[in-house]
Amino acid sequence: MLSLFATLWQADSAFPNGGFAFSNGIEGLAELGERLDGVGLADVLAMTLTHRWMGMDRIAVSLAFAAGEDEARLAEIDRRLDTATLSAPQRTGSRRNGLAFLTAHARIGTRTAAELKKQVERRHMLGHLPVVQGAIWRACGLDARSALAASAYGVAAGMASAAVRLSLIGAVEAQRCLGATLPLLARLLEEAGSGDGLTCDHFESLTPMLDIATMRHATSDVRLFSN
Amino acid sequence: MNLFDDRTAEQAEGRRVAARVGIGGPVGSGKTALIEALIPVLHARGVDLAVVTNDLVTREDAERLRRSGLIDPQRVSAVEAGACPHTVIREDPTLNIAAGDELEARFPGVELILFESGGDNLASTFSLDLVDWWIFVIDVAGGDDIPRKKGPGTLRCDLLVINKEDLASHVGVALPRMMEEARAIRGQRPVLLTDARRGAGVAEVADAMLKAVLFR
Repeated sequence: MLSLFATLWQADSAFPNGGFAFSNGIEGLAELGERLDGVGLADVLAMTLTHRWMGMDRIAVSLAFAAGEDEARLAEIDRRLDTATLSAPQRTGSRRNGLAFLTAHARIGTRTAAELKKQVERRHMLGHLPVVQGAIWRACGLDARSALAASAYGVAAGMASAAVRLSLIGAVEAQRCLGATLPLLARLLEEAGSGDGLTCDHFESLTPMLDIATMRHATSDVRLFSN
Repeated sequence: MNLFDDRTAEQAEGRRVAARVGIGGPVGSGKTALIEALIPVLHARGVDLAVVTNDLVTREDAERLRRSGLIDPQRVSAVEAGACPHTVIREDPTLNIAAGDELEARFPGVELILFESGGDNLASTFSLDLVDWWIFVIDVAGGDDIPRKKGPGTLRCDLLVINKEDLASHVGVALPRMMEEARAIRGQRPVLLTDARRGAGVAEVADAMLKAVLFR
């Protein structure tokens, strides 16, 4: 039961982790004229979860969860994730979001958070969000499967929230869209299985439209989100 | 199972050396102008400082300060507000806390970090996770009824600044009554008048800030 409550706690958008400042490509897609109504947003969420989260965040969270407090191993996963991430704004956003997440947990006193934050500040680690999530969520009492669920849900909910704040979709319609995405989340977690045998060599992503939108967004003078 | 370690939490807090001061208020009230006026006053008093801005849509305020020649541009950090100027200083101040930590790490002698909020409304307040003390800036051109509206920003701040005092006669504002009402709603907690562009009242703002957070 503790794992369930810890998961609710960490998946709650009220938990301060800096995530509200990152649209992870939604604002860029809107700038390119993509229609992000209920159908359009659902398509983007499905594409992101299937072709980015599954091959990137999911693997990083799994590997970091298994690594626990092994800082050398966490640093290696972190480096490999960075290398495998195409767009610079996505890399920078993930690192800033990761540091904000660590900042909250260090202040709360979550085991290992202050030490990991030091490692990031000393440039011994890059501090990508999925990597620090995997390590910290283990310390918070989540089980491995719940950590993956929290990660996938956080990605989808964060993008839906960004679409609402950009007035691309209504708040209620966004929740309908998010609700309709839950079966996909469940299926992806089923497919992910236990994650045994995963290595950093498995990092992969294929979201060209999202990557191009994110890169173009970085040079926009007028923007609400960091990426 | 004990998930938390109070000692490491205290260490995370204890690493903070610089005092952190928030400067919030509505769009156009003169927050950036006040900071521009405060910087030379604080430098003249030997205060080692840095600034974090929270621009809503652009990096206008950060770039304005960086180009001002008043402060080393490296000592100005910008944090995007993600369309949520309230959130970035209150509900989720972690990006701002991290920006402050990073400035302290880069400039070990820094004593004071000013956090300028993105322009907001009268309901905006700073989290005490982020700042030790905060100022709310309104201006006379916004109307003399602002204090009477009793927004949380005007009520809860440590210092209320009413800026652009020079415009009062031009916009039909009875300044003495506005001041009286502001003091009344704040239970006689401090209210100061400024004309930040000409420097009027800025020394008094610096006095109040330094006395409160640096005990000078």
